[in-house]
Amino acid sequence: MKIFLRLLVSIAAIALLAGCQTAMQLHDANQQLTSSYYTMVQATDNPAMRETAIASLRDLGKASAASAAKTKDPLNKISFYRVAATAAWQAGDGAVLEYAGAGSKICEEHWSEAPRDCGMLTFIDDMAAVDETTAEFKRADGSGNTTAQQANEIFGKYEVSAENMISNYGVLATRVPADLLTVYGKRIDDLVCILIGVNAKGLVTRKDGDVNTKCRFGNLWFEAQEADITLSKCPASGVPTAVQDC
Amino acid sequence: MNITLIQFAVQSIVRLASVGKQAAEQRSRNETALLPGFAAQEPNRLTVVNGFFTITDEREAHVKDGGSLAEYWDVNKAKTDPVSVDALYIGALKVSAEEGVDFAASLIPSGEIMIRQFDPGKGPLSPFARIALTAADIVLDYIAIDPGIVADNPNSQKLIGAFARNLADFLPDNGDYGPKEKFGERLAAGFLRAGLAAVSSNPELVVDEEHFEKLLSNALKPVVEKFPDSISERIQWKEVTDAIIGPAAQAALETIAAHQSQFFGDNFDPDIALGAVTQALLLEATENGLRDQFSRDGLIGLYRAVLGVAATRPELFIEGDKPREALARETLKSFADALTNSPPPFNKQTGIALASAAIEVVGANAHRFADPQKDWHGVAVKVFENLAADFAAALAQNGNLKQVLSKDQFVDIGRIVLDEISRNPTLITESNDEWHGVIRAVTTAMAADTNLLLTSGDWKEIARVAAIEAATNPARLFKFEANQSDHLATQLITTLLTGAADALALPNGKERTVLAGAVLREAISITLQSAAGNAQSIKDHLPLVKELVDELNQLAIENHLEIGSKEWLHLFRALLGSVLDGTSVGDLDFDRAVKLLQGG
Repeated sequence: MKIFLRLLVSIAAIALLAGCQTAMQLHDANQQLTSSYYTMVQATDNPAMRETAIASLRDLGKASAASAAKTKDPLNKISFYRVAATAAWQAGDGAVLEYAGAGSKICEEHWSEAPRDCGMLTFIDDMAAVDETTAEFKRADGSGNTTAQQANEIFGKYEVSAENMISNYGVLATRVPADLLTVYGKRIDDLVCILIGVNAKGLVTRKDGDVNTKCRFGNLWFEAQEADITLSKCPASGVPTAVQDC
Repeated sequence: MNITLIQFAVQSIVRLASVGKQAAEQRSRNETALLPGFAAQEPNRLTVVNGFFTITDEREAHVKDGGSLAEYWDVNKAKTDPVSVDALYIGALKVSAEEGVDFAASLIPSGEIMIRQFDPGKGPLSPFARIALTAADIVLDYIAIDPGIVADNPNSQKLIGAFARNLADFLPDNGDYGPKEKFGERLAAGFLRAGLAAVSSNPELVVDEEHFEKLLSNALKPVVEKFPDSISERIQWKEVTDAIIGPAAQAALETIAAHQSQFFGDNFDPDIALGAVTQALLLEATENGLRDQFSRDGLIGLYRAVLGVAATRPELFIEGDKPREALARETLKSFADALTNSPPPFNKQTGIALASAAIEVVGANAHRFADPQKDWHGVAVKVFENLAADFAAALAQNGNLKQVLSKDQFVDIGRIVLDEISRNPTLITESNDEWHGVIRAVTTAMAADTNLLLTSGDWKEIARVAAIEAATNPARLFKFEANQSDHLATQLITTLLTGAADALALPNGKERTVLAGAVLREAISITLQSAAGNAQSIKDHLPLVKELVDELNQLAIENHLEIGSKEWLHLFRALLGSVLDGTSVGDLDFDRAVKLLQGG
């Protein structure tokens, strides 16, 4: 009887330790994500430090994905994948698609138990794609050799991301915390009205690219308004209507 | 031990551990999460003005022919010279301002933000609520084992309510549990489990929930606050508290059951006092550890005794409205030390019982001390040490005593003496050692009774009479001086014992003597009672007492058919007065004895 009791208590202790370990890993991963992110954004004048922070984010992405694969609790998996996907996004690591996809798959059955994490996993890949396009934009914008074709392609990439994000807004509207939906709307505002509506369009214009980008921007703006997304950074006047075959 | 209860205890631990794990994970999952903004584009100003003035017809109108900025615009795009770019940029700022937008600011994407997992009020149960529900679940399981506990005994509900409120105090609402909070949860759960058992086995218990709550908060919260940082110390604390919290809770609730009238109404002093003592027990055990089973049982035994004092005299453990944990702890510690240093067998279970007797009796009389909050526990320790030392010395000198006195009977004698002595307010104080004189007299006499003429019951009665005489006639028979082992009472008792022993040596003495057992006990009692009123003169007349005893013994042995125990005692009582006054009994022949017996 004594042996049996000791065995039971030992099992309980091991289970407790294992549980605490998972909680600590998740907590640490969250902390490290925030910390490395701020190091990266504040190291604009220190390329070495920035690179270190990016490497740290890449490693965090891998480690968190590994933890997600290892843990059995689906909610813990989702949280680990959210950290992994965010870290990979910020590190410019293409694994973000894999991480976000794996997390989103689990979210199909557990969305209501982790609405923020599942919401983020839904759009992180699009946001990562936007940042990737922005990196391309910066190179093109700073180069005298950028062609109209390249400018058109940049506009087109932004446009695809924007369409995805606008389309997801309706899906997320009833499923994520209000704070997240508001912030997501602001991201769309930035993307449509500034990244596309000012800068990508400006690059196309500068490089004598497609003239229909004005029409395509108008369609994005229209779609966003139709989805009840508040676009405060777009022009106050000249509200567009949908145009077929720009 | 009920196997179902063992299972219940294990399942409770596992379940609370499991829900604790889940709560910790839930907390980590639901920490606010970073959502970064888009990376900044940092566009060329030429790019900006090209985009700004081509995105809508309204804006294009500013740069088309006739527009205010047309001179800076080429056919389809901005002119690239710096003057034109700057002019167009200023124009963009102006147009934006007219639209109500800070254009320069709007160019910067929204920054990162921390996002909650759930909207306020829409999330799942907080980690705390999960643990509280699990505790409730444990209670339900207990009810399954003992169905009557809730229906028949409302105290369980009160206990659960008090438990829940205290747990709420331990655990922050945000579920930010550190080791300290988990330790508190563990302590409280242990208390609840043991408390349910105590409530179940004391159905007569009637206590206000507020009193339970006060007791719990005073007992546990300060202990949790002191939970150490060091990992090794934490391990020790957990092991020790796991071992001791159950018995402690049981003892506390049984003390309440035994002193129920103290735990009603608006007076919470008894709860605060019990809390102080419980806190002291836990801190003493956790900080100094439990060396073995005895140290655990010893501490719990002492704790139980001190609880009794706290319940009846709470003011001893309270200063203002604050618990005096330090005093309670000093009491436990000094007794634990005294027990450890006591001679065998008073360094084990017998010692605990003897110490408990000392604590109860001295504690109950603590109001008689000049500074009751300071001195009583020191006196109690001294009482115990002297009891243990004197009993041990008697056992060492007279090995035969073990045949008539069990260890428990030693404790009974000690308790009898203390109970009787405490009737006199002046005797149990720091400066008065009269009680020690009684103990010394009895134990010295015990040592002298090598023929085992008295039974354990006789010794108890002698101790009672001696103590009563000491209490009613202080400073006469039992005035104690450390170097004086043969003070008056001792000499009187040993005189009678010697007389009884001498009778055995007379011809036919073993068969015919009546001075043994109940008669000897009665004779000693009569002597002590008579001598107490005439202590001064008896010092000089002890040989006359011996002479009386010898004469009566001889008479009884020679005339055993006529002089039995009743006659022996009648003659002793009749002659003792004049003997104590200094008159020799002389030659006591049969005729004179008969006359005396006939009232002559």
